[in-house]
Amino acid sequence: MENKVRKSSIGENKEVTRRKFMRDSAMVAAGLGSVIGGCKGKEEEKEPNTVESDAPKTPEKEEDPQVAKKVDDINVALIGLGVQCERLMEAILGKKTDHQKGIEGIRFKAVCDIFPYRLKRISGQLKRGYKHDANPYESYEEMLDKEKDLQAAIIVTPDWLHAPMTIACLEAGLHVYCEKEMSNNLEDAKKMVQTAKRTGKYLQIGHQRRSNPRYQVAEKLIREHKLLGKVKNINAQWNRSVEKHKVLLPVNKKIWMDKAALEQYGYGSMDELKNWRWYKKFGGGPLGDLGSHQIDIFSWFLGDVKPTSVLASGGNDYYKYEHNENVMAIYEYETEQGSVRAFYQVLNTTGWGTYGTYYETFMGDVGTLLIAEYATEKNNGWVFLERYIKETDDAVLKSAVLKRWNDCIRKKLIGGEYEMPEEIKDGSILKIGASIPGRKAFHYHPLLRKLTKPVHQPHLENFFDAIRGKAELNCPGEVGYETAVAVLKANEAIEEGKKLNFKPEDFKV
Amino acid sequence: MEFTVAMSNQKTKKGIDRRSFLRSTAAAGAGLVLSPMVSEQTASGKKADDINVALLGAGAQGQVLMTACLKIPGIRFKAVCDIWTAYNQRRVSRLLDRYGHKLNTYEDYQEMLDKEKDLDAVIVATPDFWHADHAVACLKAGLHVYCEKEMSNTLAGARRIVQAAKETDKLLQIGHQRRSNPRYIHCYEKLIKEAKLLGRITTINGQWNRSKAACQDLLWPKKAPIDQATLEKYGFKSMEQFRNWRWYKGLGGGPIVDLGSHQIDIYSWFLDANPKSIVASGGIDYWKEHEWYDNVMAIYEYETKQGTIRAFYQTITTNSSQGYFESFMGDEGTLAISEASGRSAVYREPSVPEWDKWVKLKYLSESARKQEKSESGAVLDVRETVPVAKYDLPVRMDKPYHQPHLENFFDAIRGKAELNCPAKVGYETAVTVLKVNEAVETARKLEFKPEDFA
Repeated sequence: MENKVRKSSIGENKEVTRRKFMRDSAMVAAGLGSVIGGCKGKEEEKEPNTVESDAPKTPEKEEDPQVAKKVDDINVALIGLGVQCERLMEAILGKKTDHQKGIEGIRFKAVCDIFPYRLKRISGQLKRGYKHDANPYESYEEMLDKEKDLQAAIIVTPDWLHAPMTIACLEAGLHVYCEKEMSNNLEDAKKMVQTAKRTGKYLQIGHQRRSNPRYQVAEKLIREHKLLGKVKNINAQWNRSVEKHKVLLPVNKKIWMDKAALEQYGYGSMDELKNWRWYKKFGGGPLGDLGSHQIDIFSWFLGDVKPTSVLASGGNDYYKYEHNENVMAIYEYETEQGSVRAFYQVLNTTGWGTYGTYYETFMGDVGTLLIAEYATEKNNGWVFLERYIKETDDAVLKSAVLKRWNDCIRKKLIGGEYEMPEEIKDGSILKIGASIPGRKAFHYHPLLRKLTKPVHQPHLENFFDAIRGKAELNCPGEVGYETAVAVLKANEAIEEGKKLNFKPEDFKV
Repeated sequence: MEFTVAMSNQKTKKGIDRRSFLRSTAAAGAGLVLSPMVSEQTASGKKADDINVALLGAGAQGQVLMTACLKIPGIRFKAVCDIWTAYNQRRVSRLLDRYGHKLNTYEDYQEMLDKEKDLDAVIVATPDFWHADHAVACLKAGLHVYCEKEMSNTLAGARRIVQAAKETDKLLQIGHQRRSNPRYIHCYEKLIKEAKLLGRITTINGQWNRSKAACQDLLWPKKAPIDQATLEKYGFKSMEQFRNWRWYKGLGGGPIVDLGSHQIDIYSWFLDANPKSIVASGGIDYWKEHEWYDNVMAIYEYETKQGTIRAFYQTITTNSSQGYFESFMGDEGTLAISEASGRSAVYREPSVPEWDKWVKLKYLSESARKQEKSESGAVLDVRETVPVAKYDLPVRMDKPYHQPHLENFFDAIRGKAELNCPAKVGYETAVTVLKVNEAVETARKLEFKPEDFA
């Protein structure tokens, strides 16, 4: 602990300059003329930490990189140290076992969780594995009081805590990366956006597909290159097998939090803490959890168009949890190209799906795009050209469509016509479209842009680049809010048993 | 016509004798052993268990059924009725003539029923809005009826058919032909009912996606139209409407009824239940000149002893991705089946033990290739899922899709089988399917009451 205090005093002078520099650049990049708000960070006396970390101390010389902090290094706090936080940590720090590179210049200075076991474990991992000396806190408020050297916070707590934590961090002058769903209620989500606006701090919502280059190319194929023609339908799903639906509680009950400690933070049991996603007061259920990633893409790929209505059906009669385990929703959109109908389903009772367990398909009158965040060497996503295009007598249509497809092949956005590998055909029922044996239903073309990084890394990079004034956020609070409006409405539609219409102002903060 | 009349008169007596024989055989039920006499030829060259059939409606679908019938022994087409005399009627009668069927042709079904006294059965493949009048008239004329789905475009029409079948005690088979498909029967009887391979079914996904090219309006040879007076006499405003009746309100029900009906019928069959509610979304999104929705998505809820099942169905007309199929998803496995031969499989959920036993019993066969293994082992997300193992169906169906269902109908007439899709079943499916369009209009969840299906 003494080490830390010493270090932060050393860093302080440089720090103010660095933070001001970064913010100024950011403002310029975002096209803002004036700097809003002042810099935080009066020197404060550091109290010895209440939570003790027994992680092995690293040798003094190993800490040199921290002392010699570069001007665009970013000091980060990690709030919420559950399983999802490990994904984000790995994305930031790299994974040595996979020779996976991390993001340069990110220094974890503080970690926070109410569950002492996780707090100890993650701070220990950071110290041992990555030589980050992050101060552990049980309370985020205490953390914000004491840590005066932070520029950003990453919030990976249950949904119901996103708003208070994000707002407190923004008010404390930190930029915030907040996991989706932004909040489990829209009023809170709105306050998050308003606070970000008022404080002039960045708020990135964790819809990480928005920064995934595979998705970015896919969006271009649809909107810029118009490969699919008129998109009229979307189908997407996230189906999970029964054994995947719940997080297992730690086997060793000795490490569990006791009832009083849990209650202090609003949880009635360890199950409520670990499986908060199934409780109404804590999260939005599987639809909010999984669906929001994918329903977010619908709007994006349709040209930032918000849905006009939603109809839905869902139930919880399998597990009898508070949230619906299985949900089906139909969204309607009005685009420049007319109405679009989108079907989304999330299941927790079956892992099977037409194209695999989770994916999004965009279906146009000329072609189909199939993409999933999960990609393999052989199955990186596809575009299918409707067979009739090559057989039509309409020479004008045929040459116009083929020109667009060939352009994309030349630009190496998609591959040439491709014979679907047998194992992929067998893995699903892709060949079902061919109603005449031996005759192709479609012409398959693979998507070529690959993502070699962990899936969350580009989105975090985008956040840090924005702080450094090098980029604009791919999913600012406003976008996250629009998605939350669209997604949370489906739960309402289930209860009401009717089509619910969205008004344009519903999506405005 | 004179020739026709003469022929009819000549055959009347024999016809009645044979028909009463067939009916009494049927009444005696399945399992009856036919006497050797039956297979002997009668004086007119007809075997005693031959069935004389009329085709009422000789358009594309009528021709599909006719072609399937040509592969079934003992089926003799005696009459063809179609209002498009210059094309459909001519084409079919010529073709049947080549196969040695001596038949009479009619424009008016009433006239056909009046004159043809030697018929046993009629295959009705006319537009939906004619089904009730046609099926009822045929039943009342003492004929067994195979009627294409949708039973009717209105429930009132469907009820009239059910009533007539009851009153006349004639056989009525509705054309949901998957009900007789051995692949579907295997899945229902062996995999779902007996082996319970899917565990508890919670979800169904089905679709019929067609490309834009497959949904163009049907044209007609300009040399051979139906004259306006005839069109109007039979309820059509124009040749365009006659050809594309499926898209018009009052004539058909749009793609959801046309295609969806086949598949939604299977939902109820495999679940042994009728749905409890429906929500749906649809619109005239692309084919602006049409009256019915070209783009429909529907979600049904079923309540069974096992719990709630949600069933999604979509039919779209601008994209053919994945074609058509029905998937039954349970907590232990998924059955993905399509009428398109050879495109079906059963998938075992990761936590379920191997299905070797069922492979040995030939309920399933090992898939030629195992599921692609996750390559990188990269962990994506806390909630990542594992791929599932695949098995094939051991049953093949090499006949034309409609043949087994027609065989079942003729076997029932011969007293050798029970109908796979009698009036009651067809009616329940009509109730289920016609509700989709209503749900689209009202934009709310519509509930089914048990008495709706009665």
